[in-house]
Amino acid sequence: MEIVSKKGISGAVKYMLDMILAGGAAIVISLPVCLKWCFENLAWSAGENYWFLLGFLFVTGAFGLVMVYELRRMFRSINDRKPFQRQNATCLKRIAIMALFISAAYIIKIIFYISFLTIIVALGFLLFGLAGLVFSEVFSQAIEVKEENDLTI
Amino acid sequence: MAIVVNLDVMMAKRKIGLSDLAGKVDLTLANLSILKNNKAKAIRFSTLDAVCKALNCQPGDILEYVPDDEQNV
Repeated sequence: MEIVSKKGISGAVKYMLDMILAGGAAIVISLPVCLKWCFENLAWSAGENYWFLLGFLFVTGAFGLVMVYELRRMFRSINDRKPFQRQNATCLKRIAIMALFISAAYIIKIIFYISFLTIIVALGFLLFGLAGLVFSEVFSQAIEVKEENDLTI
Repeated sequence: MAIVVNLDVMMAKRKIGLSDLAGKVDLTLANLSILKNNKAKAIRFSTLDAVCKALNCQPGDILEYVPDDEQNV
């Protein structure tokens, strides 16, 4: 099975991202209803306030959707076998910045409602965001090398 | 960039078209066009060799150094 092709693994990942984007958007839009149902029907042990959690999930959900959208754009160009485009370096940078925003949101949440999982998620997104910034810079350099190579006759 | 490619001048002197030259030097029309329009960032010696052979000229007939301040004038 091919890794980089529309009918290969990258094509399957793009399809999964499409589903995640659609599903994620639906969840974020229906958050008030979903969260209310969770509070009423599930055992909520962390003690968070409904309105705080709603706002928090809206904000982090929006950032997450932007991440998925940008990743989807990248995979579209990967499937077209043109991964080294300026646009993809920008996408990577945006994904990294969104991850840092999510990490900041979780760090703020730690101040109000501390839990072990929250700390893990905050650190995870922080690391992901910082690594993403580095990788976007490396990607930019790779694009420069490719452009140089393409314009070498 | 200070290096100017005068390929069109030499092509006119030798009365050869772009597609004919592309066929002789084994380059695509697109790549030859990039070279002719000064969009190239570098040229391989093998390409320079093929072009000089096809146009029966010296590298200096195709490549010219024009300092940046002279280009702006």
